[in-house]
Formats: sequence, structure tokens, C-alpha cells
Amino acid sequence: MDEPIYLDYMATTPVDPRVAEAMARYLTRDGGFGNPASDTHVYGHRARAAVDDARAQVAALIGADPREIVWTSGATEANNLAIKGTAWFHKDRGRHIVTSRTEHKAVIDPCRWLERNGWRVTWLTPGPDGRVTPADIATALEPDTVLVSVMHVNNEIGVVNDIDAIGSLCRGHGCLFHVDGAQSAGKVAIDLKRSAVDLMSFSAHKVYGPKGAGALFVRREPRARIEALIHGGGHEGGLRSGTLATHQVVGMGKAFEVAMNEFDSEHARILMLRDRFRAALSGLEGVHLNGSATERVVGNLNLSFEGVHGDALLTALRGLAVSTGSACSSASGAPSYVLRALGRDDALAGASVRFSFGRWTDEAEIDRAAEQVIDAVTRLRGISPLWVGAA
Amino acid sequence: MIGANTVLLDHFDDPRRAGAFPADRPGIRRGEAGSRHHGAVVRFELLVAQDGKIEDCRFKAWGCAGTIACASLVAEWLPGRTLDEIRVADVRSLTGVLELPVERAYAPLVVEDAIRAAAEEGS
Repeated sequence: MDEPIYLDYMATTPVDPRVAEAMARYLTRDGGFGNPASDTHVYGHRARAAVDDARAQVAALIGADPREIVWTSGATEANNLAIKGTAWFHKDRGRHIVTSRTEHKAVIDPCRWLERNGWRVTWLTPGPDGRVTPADIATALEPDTVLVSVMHVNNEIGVVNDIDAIGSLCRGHGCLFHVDGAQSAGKVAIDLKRSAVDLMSFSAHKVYGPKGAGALFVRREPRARIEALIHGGGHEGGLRSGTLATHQVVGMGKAFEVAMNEFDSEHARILMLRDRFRAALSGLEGVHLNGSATERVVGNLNLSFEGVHGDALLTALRGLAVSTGSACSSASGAPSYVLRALGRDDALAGASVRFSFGRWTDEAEIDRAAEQVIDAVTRLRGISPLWVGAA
Repeated sequence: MIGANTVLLDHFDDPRRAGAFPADRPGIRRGEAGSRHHGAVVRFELLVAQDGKIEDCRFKAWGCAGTIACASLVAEWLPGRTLDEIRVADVRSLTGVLELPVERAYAPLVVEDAIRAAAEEGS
């Protein structure tokens, strides 16, 4: 059997060969294998220079100062550092946090942990379009709110939150604003010189870089003060100790550089592919788009199919690599908490598929994928006692 | 379903006797079990001959791939059976045939409830 068509770019992306090639130069004896913290010899200097270059590459894509980039093992660690680090540093000033129910588990779980340890968390429910509104944030802010954490792009439904407006609110209120940007880097323009975002998490592997690499943007002016979670050597300005994984960092830097250089062309190409896919499915009735139709990243379509069961649909679509919910939680088999938060009933939430398109998706794949979806849905509806036509 | 076995995939991809008899066809007993809330709905139609044996059957199923495969296997087994046999049928062994994970063990039970309901209809 042919390999399934990969339409799960929001779960992870293959490493771009240009990235892999750059990384390979920082592993072996004939390359930049040195410890970037060794300042007494050329091996260390070489690795340090590569880390500095990568820091500048990451900063360039998001409109930051390279000194505002703190390397981490991924977006999960960056989210933990931002949320728990803020809570700990400001614990004497206030113990209230605002976030939403549709955040990634890497934001929800640190917030829950803080709740168990005496902090108060306000959990906002997004509107039917899946977005968290600035008005909701404004209502939730309290005098002792120290942090608001809202994702830029939702990992399941791809909707884009207005982080500029929310950031301004937070700045006015005097609390820090953290944004999980794992799904937005390279897909949505980010300019942290202009946006009032204090902390922003990034991942390499969603942007054709390696797994196990990420970064937290920590604003210098006005300074975002947070406490470190990992101690031991004072690396990364004391915020994240541990010898830097030079090759990983180089990979993330190169990946972000490619994303910046190809931003416009990628955006236009993927938009065209997404529209082609949607148009191909337009003959199928009873298909619902989850999340805002306009405020969304181009590479995501999250669709619910009436009259079919989620598990049966995924089994019928085994020629496609897609997911229900996010890859991190679909192993549990539970209906998506994101779709439920939007008011989808369990059966319809269960028959939802996230299609995500990326750098190597082409028209032929889109056409074959659409054909498989039409065949699967039509066949399953034909034997479904619940299908009597679109509601 | 991740890791589905070949029997399951065969019956899921090519379900036997799936569909429905014409609504006005005489001699059909119909039964349904399950609910949307519980994640599976199965409907069976039995064409019963004069001698009380099943001549033919049809089913419709909404549920996981295992539920559809179970219904198909049972639809293959039904012709030639008597209503009495169906009333005491125990199809739980299909869990083993289809290598269903424990969280899918409900699938044969919903199918069993549906054929028993059909056997009881009108009697």
C-alpha cells in the first residue's frame, strides 16, 4: 500500500532538507561540536557564533531583539516557563490568571497545576467562531491578575486570535500577556516590536525544524520579569540552565529563516490548495467548518461530517494521515475539548477531521485526498441509520 | 481504528448485507439498539420465512469501525438461523475475532441487542 497522504502538518512537519543540512554541521568532530558556553577556545566560539546567528534568525521572523530569545526544549517547556515563571515571580503581587478553555494542554495543564497550588484561574469560553475576544478578557481581569495567556493560532481549528488588542488591554491593566505561538510562527505575520506581547512561545518542529527545540520570547522593554524553572549554570540569562543543543538551535534558526524568506509564496500557495480542497468537497452536504471562516490560518481546515462516526471515518480515511482533535490528545479517544467548547455535540465533534496542509502538499495530493473523503463519507452515510440528509 | 486486524478491515470496507429492505416489503422484523450518546446505533431487519428461519437480513450501523464489522459478521451468520436461536445469541466472541480493544467491547453487545430486538418484534 502507498504511504498515506500527509495532511497533518499542524501535528508536526518534516525537517526541511536545508535545515537538516545546517544541523549536521554542528554534530561531529569536523564540525561545530563545541560547547557554546566554552569561551576559552575556538571550538566553543564557533558553536557560540552559530547559536547567536540562530537567535538572530528566530528574532527576525517575529520582530524581536535577539537578546529576547530564550532557547527551550520546545513550546511545552516555553509555555511552562512563561506561565509558572510569571506566577512564581509575581506571587506576592497577585495570584490570578486568565486563559481560555481551548488552549493547548501545554497551557491548560500548567494553569491547572497553579490552581492546585493556590492560584485562581479564570477559564474563558471562546465564541462560536472559536476566538477569544478582547471584551471577554477585559471582563475577566481583576486587580490581582498577573498573567493573561491566550494562544495566537488554535492547534485544532486554526483560528487566529487578536493578540494586538488583547495585548493592549493587558498592558493597560498592568499584567503580563503570554501568547502560545507554536502554531502561528511562519503562518501569520508576527511583529513583536508593535504587539504588546510580553512572552511568546515557539516550537521548531511546526516550522520544518527539528523536534526538541523551542524558544520563549521574553520582552526586554518593558521588561517581563519571570522566575526560572530549571537552575544549574545560569545559561540563557539565568532563565534556562543547561548546555545548549547547538545543532537543534541551529536547526530552529535555519527553519525560521526559510519560513521568513518564503512566507509570501508559501502563504499564497497553501491558500490556493486549501480552497481547492474545500471546493472539491462542496458537493457533499452536511459538512461544517469549525471555527471562523475568515480569521484562520490558511493551512487548516477542521471539518465536521454529519451522519458518520468519527472512528469509522478515520478508519475509512486510512489513506490519509489526518487527525481528530490534536495529535497530543486524540490517543485518548475522547471527543475534542476544543470542539465541545464551541458547542458542537459529542457525535458531531467526534466526526471531525483536522486537515492541515504544508510545504510538500501539492495539487495531486489535494485531489486524491478530496476523492477519498467523498468516497468515505458517502459510503458510511449509506449504511448509517442516523443519516437522513443534511440537518 | 488504529491497529485494526484484517477481518475487521475486510468487513468494515465491504460490509455484508448492509442497507435496508424496501419499507413496504412484508414479513420483515426490525430492531434497533444503542444511542448517539453511547456512540453506536445499530438497526437490523430480518426477513423471516414461514418456517421461522431467517431467509435474509439487512443492517445499518453508525459507530466505530468495530461496530460496523461486528454487524457485518452477524449479518453473514444470520441466514438459516431460527428466531429462537437469535433470542439467545451471544456474539461476544466477536470481540476476540476482531481483536477489539477493551474500550470497544460494547460493539458486539449493541449488535446483539439489535438482532434480539428484531427477533422479538411483533411476537
